[in-house]
Amino acid sequence: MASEAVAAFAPTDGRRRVKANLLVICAAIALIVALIPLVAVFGYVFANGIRSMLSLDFLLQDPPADLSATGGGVRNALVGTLEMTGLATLIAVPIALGMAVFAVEVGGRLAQAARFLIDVLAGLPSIVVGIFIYTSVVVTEGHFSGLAGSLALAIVMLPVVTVSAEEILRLTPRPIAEGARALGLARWRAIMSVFVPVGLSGIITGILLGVSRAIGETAPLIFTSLGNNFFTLDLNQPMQALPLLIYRNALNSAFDAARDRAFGAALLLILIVLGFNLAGRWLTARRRLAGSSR
Amino acid sequence: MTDSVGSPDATEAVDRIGLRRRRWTGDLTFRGVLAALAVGTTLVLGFMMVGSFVTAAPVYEKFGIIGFLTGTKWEPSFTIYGAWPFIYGTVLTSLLALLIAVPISVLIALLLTDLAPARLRGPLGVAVDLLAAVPSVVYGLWGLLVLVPVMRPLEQAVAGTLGKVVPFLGPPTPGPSYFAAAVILAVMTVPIISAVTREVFASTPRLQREAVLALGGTRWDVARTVTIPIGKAGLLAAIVLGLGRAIGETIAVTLVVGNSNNIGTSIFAPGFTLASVIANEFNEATETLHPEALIALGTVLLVISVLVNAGAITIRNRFTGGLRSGF
Amino acid sequence: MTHIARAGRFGAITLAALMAVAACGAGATTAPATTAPVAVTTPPAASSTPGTSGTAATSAAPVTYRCSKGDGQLNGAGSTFINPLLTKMAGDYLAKCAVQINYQSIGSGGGVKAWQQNTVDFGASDAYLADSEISTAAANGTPVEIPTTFGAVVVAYNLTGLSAAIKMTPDIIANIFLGKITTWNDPALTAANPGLSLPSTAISVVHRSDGSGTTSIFTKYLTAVSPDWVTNVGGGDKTKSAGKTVAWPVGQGASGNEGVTQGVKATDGGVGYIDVAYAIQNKIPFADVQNSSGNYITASLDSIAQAANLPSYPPDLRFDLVNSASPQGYPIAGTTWIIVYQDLSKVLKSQDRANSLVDFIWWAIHAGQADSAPLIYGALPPNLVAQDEAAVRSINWAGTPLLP
Repeated sequence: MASEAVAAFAPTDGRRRVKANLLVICAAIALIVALIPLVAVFGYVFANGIRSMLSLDFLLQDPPADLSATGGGVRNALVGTLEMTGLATLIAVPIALGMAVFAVEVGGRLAQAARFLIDVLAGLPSIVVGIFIYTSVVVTEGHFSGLAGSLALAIVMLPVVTVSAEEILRLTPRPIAEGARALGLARWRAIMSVFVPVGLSGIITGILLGVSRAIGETAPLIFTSLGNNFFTLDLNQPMQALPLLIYRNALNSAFDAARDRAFGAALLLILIVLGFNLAGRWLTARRRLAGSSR
Repeated sequence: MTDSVGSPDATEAVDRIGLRRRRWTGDLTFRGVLAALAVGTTLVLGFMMVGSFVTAAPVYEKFGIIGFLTGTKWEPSFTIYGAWPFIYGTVLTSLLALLIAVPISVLIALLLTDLAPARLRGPLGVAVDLLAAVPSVVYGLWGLLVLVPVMRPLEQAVAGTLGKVVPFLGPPTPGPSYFAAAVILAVMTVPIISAVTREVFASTPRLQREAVLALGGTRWDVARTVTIPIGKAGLLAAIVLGLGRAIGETIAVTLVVGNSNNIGTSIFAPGFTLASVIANEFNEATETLHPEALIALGTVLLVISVLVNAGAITIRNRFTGGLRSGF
Repeated sequence: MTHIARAGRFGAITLAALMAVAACGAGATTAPATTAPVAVTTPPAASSTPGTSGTAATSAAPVTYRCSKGDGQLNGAGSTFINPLLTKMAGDYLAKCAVQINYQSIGSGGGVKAWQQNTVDFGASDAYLADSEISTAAANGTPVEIPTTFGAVVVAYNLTGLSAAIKMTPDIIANIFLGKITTWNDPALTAANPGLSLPSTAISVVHRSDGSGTTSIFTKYLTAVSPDWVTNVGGGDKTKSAGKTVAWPVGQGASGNEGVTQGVKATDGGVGYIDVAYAIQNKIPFADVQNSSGNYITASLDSIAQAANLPSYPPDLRFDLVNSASPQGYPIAGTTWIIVYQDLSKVLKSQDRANSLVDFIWWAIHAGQADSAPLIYGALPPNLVAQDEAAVRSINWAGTPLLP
């Protein structure tokens, strides 16, 4: 039997060596094929957008009222994105944390049902979320608004943050969990003062991932915040956001200047999302290095 | 009380010591708040989903559930609505996307867990994951403005040769098409599938992998006999995750799919998916039953999402271990 | 405190600060403070198209603009056809009256729906409202449709190396979009273009995928000139073969004039219908179309004016300009209407806002017309302006006219 096993993996078989090498080559090709779009997309957006980004005015000025004029910037979109995503985070994170804690600590049928719905939500196209907010908020209020956009983004963020938080909480190291109990802490004290802080970096990673997802979303905003060519901080007005500006203007063949600004906005957006993504990654790496919860 | 901290007896003992009273009030409020939160969220989400079905009911009544799902004509000006062209488009683009993305993802996962030098694995892994960081509107734009024109001559070549034999690969080749959407979707799902698969492969028992090597097997043998068979369930879960993403992607698809209500006979023909037709038409749906029909398409997406998720949960339950979900 | 906690605290403070700023900024606009409404006198906008017919009615009283501030911003949505013009107008109106006109070009269908659901202050559509669309909005009120400009829908194509523009007869256009003519060197095309050597490239049709007023103009034209089109696309029903959306037999769909322009530009042999401004800006050739008098007409300010400047317009201001009987008129001309409710008290929150809306429209049909010629839009002739004035004056707040 041992001889069979050895025969099965006879090392001097040239054909299998070739197969092994072929595997490595194929895998390397697959990697290159997968990375080509990354480089191509970034290069394309960079090449078309860098012109606009060279001046700081791009971030500090709004688009000119006459969209065909050159110059101006995307301040309204940048601020709109930050404001709507910020509000969405403020709404989604407490709910997500609460749901995660509920699922881990209390459990039971209600938690399962809620978690199932959140899982379904994770796979739902964000356009459907946008439509729901449209019919329930925009139409009843009588106008498009940044608030509606924030609500839609909050719903989009919710599953990402909930799932991350729940995983982190579940992975609380046993010694810490049991230590808290041994100290006689009330359940809620244990969670608030021990489990959450211990898992904080993991939770923050989840939040950052959720934020980077929400920042790049266009579909939920189309029917909710509509877009605004002007600057506003007022959440009751239609609001501009970077993805919306890109979507409406990058194909704008009537005005080259609007197109250029849209590509500059695309570059800005990629950099922001990359920033959040890499920040989350860095946090995870530090967590792993410190060896605290993973 | 000499039991170790972790044993159930110790827990009970702690309970009995009389700390219960102090815990109760705080805990009750806490649990109450959380329960209220969970109920509230469930209600809102549930209301959202049920509300869609209620709004879509007139359409289902008019055409019948089967009639609507299999109807091939979508003509708002005639008040004729049939979901089949879009279901077809969604299924076709998602399957094509998986066909492209899964082999690539598996190969990348193997590379990054087994085959590549250890030093390179980290940075290369980050690079692949960064594919997920590009916003979908940017993918859509790049797809429309760069990828589609580049692919068009290749499509025409295929359509002109293979297409003569297999109409499925034949003309027309306008550029934006099911195939273009599938390629973009593949690019967008590779990071998801490969990330999960990488974790799955990484958690294959080292002992088994090294055993094969010790017996004189090559890396190919390791993959063939250990990594992939053991990781099958996890791989399936990863594929299901990617499928979910592909089905729901809206903006990138709507820019490159060609936006045609007809059922294209070739993968190079323009078409529509469920999500992209909603994005395209909802803004201006003023004809009779048009908005309701679009929401009905949304309910189809909802049901598909539920089914895909249920599948994922079943697989997840069968496969325990460090699976990271929800990218 | 750990790095992470510090970062988290910083992030929380930043977010809180942002929210505080937003709360303080709520309601405040960035429009500069102005004093009393600016009364500007301008001579009535004479039609700037060369060689226009029409009475050069020089009304003695100069037009005044009240420039009500309202809330400092108005929201409009709709036609991509008029987007270049409305955008320019927005810039000029901001400079003149310090009111921001936020116009989002989402397609005429979107504009009509937004107006119906009262999610915007005004809609813009290249197709006048259908009776069913009016009755859907009946709960909010009755519409006032104000023609704001004229434009041309051209058949743009992507072929290089031709010495002149392609001539197309109505039948050719219909058959291309019906999918019956599939190559550029089809006998029908070569017969109409004896001087051109047309290649054998396949024709790739690009049409609109969204609810489009441009589609409405184009399909109304096809319905008027091609019985084949009515049969194949409308099933014999003229109300189905023309409209903002139709059942296109062939072609790929693109969103907005912008999308169709992009589609044509990117596809060798592509053909699509777009507003002439988009074709000119993108340097895409477009066809000379044969009109009902048998002449091949190039879309231009002159040919638009010939088709659009009618001696009289219907009292309800709903009219089609396609298939003009005028010998030098461009056959696929159209109008864009600004659509508002007649009684704004039911749909707007304040009379100030209503005043600002009415003032903008008043300006758009007078001084705003100066923006049209450079963008190849036809300015309104004086007799239509007079009718428009009456329509704007009918806009009221619970019965009281909003214009003095």
